[in-house]
Amino acid sequence: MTEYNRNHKRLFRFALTVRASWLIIGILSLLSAGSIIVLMYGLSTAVDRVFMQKISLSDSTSVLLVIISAMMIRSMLFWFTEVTGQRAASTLKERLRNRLFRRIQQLGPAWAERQSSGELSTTASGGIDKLNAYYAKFLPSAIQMAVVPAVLALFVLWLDWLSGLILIITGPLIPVFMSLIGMRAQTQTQKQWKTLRYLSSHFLDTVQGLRTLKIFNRTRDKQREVELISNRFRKTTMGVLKIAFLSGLILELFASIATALVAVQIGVRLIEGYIGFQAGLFILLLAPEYYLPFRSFGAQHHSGMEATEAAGRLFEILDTPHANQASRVTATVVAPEPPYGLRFENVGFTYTGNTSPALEHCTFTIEPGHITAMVGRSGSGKSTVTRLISRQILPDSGQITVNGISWDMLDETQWLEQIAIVNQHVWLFDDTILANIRAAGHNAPFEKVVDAAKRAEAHDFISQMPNGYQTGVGEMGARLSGGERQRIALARAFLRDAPLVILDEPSSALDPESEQKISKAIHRLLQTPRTVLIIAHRLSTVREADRILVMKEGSVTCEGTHNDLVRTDNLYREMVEPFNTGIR
Amino acid sequence: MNTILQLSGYLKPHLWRATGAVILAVGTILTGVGLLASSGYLISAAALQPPILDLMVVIVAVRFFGISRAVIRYSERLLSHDVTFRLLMHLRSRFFYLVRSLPASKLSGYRSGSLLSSITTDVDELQNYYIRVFIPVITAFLASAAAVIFLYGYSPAAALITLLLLLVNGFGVPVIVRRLSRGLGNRQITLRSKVHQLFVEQSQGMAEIRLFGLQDRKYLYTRRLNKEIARLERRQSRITGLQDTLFYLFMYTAVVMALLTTVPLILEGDLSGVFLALVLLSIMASFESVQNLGTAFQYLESSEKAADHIQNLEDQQESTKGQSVRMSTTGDDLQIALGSGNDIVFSDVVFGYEQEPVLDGFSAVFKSGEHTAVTGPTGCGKSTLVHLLLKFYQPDKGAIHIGNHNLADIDDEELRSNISVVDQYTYIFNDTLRNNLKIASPVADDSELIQSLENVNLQHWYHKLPQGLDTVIGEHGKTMSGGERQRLALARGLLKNTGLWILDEPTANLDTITEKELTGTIRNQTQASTVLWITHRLIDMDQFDQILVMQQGQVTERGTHHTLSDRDGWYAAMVGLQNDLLPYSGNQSME
Repeated sequence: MTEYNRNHKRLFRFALTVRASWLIIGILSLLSAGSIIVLMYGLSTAVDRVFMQKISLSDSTSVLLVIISAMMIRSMLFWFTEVTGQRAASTLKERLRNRLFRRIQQLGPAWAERQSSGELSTTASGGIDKLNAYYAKFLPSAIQMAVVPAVLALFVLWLDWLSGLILIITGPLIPVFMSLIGMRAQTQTQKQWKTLRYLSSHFLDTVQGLRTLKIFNRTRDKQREVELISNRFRKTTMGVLKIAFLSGLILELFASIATALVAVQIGVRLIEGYIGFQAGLFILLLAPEYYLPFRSFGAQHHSGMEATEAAGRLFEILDTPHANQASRVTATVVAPEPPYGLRFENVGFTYTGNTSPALEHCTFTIEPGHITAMVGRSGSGKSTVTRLISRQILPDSGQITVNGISWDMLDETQWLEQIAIVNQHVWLFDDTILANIRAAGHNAPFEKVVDAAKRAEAHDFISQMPNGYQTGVGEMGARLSGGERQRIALARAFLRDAPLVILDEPSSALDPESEQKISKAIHRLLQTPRTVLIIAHRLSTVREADRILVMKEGSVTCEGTHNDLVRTDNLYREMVEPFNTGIR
Repeated sequence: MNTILQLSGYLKPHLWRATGAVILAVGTILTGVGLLASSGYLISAAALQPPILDLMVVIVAVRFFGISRAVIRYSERLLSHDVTFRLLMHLRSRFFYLVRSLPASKLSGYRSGSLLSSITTDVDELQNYYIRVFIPVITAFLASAAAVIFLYGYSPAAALITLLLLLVNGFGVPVIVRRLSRGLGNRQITLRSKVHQLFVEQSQGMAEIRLFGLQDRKYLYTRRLNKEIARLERRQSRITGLQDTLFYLFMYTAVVMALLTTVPLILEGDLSGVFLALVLLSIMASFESVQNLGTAFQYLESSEKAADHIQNLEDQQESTKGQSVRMSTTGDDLQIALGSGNDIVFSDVVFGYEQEPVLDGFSAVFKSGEHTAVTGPTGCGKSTLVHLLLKFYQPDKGAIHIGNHNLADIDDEELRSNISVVDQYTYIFNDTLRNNLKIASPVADDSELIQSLENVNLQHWYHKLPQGLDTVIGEHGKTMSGGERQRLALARGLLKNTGLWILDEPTANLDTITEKELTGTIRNQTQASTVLWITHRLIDMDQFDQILVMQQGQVTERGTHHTLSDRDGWYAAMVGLQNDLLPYSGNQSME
């Protein structure tokens, strides 16, 4: 409940950034109340003239004109209100969507990786669209509920205090009772929440598991279960609805009984001559209009609540603190010249939410122009090192230097341009193959892209695709194999011709054919002198590397060549001992 | 219109309740008319200052309408929701029946997920149909008719005008507004899915976006799309805003026209002036009957789509009905066939899911009691063997025999009850551990279930469960690790107790250590059975009696680990690669 209220407050406060729109809706509501009064005055006067005074309408053209213009104004005000409400809602949603997009960028890959991407994008698109109901319908109807009945009640009070009193007493009680019942219903729902969730997800669960059910020949039993559970779902939900619908009952009860009360009380006083017919009818006509805003608010209340719940996750993301690079970078110096040598000195890093550090007192050197391999079990901190190098995260402690220049002094954009990363989990943009390779080197001419693809051994399989380089990965993306993705990443690296390459070897064997092609391409990439860091999973790779870093529990425990390490380091020997496939 | 009839067909079993709900809905509107009409009459009559006793009846009527309207409305909402949930049960049951009678081929493969989840959305969509379309439309007709007939008794002209404008407001305005705004709505849907895609890219491809310095470009693109969406929304509101405006404009027009046509009747003495206010107030109240039709049209469209899907399923069910009858082999025969040293023989099997053949003249013998490994590059057709053996699909050419029995003649259910399958897509139901195991054997008692868990080395995991067998094992087993899920699948297979095991890359998503452990457990538990093991990673291959290498839908190498390792082929190359892997490597665990 408290979180709900907090979200509500946030939504409301955010609404205040377009104050003018709400002010306009308030003014429109005032005008609307005015037009209602004029319209009902006209109608009651017309009836009074015909019924009581027996005057033909042709003698009261001015009354008719008043009626017609008031009804036109009143109708048109609905249009203005809706357009203004949607205008505000669209502006707010646009801002939120933009802010959310920027915020996710700022939070960076390390954060994004830990989110479920489906949930994240659904929050961003579906979640924000749910706010439409709140801003375009719920808030305007709340404003109308605050303005129109107040004006009408005061007017009636001035006209006839007894009727006015009835309206003034009953009106405000409606929202009070509704929210009381709403809270009851809420607790009732929360009590049943687990059951309800289980019951309502049962069908989806059963349908999704159909393949399994089929293999075990269990579909017939489940048929009966589906019916039983649906029935239980109905009974439980009806129990909740019996209470939830009470708020509608209260609204109706107050509105109709109060209208009846107004009518009877006016009727009785008419007999005794305490009030005139025109005034009596006038008030009677105003009574339903008085309750109308309460009704439309009641109708929007549910979608407003839904939006408030959806907003929770949204604000959670917007409120996630991010280590803003700008605040830590004090000055920017000119980028160092390649080849690059990197040095980690006592680097420590802990992922937010984790208790144990991913890197601790991690010290090592990557020599310029050499091939350095890094080995270690999964979770030993290898990928944290690559994340630090590509500045997806910043170290909590310690120093990273490039050619002796402190990490803090580098310009991030310039630095990232010096790096190529090759792995088989590359992200492919929803675009053509051509655009996907070209992303690594903006505005590279087609020939250069093809050349890079050829060197990456990717040209052949790309040419075999239906539209060659113009094939959209959206059509093919899901079907590109790990080896093909690896080669696209290699093509990007060739195109970029980066002085620093980070290579993440596939951790399981691909087909012999693609393995051979990839290793050919990698050797080609390593011919030109560059600084290379390989996250190694192959014996042949560590044998060929100039230097090997052995990682264990967040730091480099040992470094040297393969031959050195095999002799001196037990951990290393254990890690590279032949796998002996097939032989126990 | 067709859809309405078809959908209304599902209401038949609930006809009485449905009728009751409609009567109450009409009652709600008519008591509203009654309240305003009697109030108008009361005031008019009172203005003539008769003795108060003459008006007692009217006063009672006003009070009656005032109180009953709220009560009737409350009962209507309860009853109509009750009917909706009853209908939902009916729809779910029907849908489930239809889906389970689909040929198994429709349920496997990558499209099945979306097919199945779209079915549940369709069902949800259809339950709306009743409460948002059916009741409002019928109610609108009945309540309007009643109100118009009532009015006709006082002022025929006013009644006809009201009828006309009710039709305009109930059907004309919503249809026109929807038609005008549809184009804008569709363009928004396209843009929204683009933005959605950008957010997906943003969260999954952020490393690349940063590396290539695309942040600002992506942000600007998103901003442009967001701006366009906002612009379209605003434009659309200028059309949808007409709905309410026209509704009230026409309602008041009806009132004014009624005034103009009824006044002469009064002045000429054909109608008492007492009824003028009554006529005008009833007209205003009667428009409530068509107020919800705008949303009804919206829901009708989506219901139509959902109804099309259900019709599709019904048709498929019709067409498959005839096929599954002519099975000759009984269960006993099959058990004997699988149990008594009969081999499984594929002879020249040709098969393709679409045009391209996946199996192209595949021949192989899986000897009873032997363990056979099938390996080969991705897409060589390994998993297709499983689909054919389980009769999810039929071969296009060639035949599969178990002993003397042609697979085509064996009853699907009998066949499947004699095969245990573990693949990488183990489905854990959002249910208790007991029920998740009992799927394999409904008659098994608790000690058998626990025994099966011990056999697959899940006893430690099991002892930590708070409620033992009654523990609900999370949302689709999310509380379980990948290894634990696969062990559970294995336990299911053990409970089924069959002589033939099919293992389709059961360790595909596990890390190396878990993989090795699980592989060992599977070996121990399936020792005495016939095993067909499809694998990409070559672990402990010398344990297999036979190894088949498949390439492009055919067997290209056949032998034991030792004979194949010595031959210069795909297998030997793959073993070489596998040996080059550092031992700690392997698929990164998802745990």
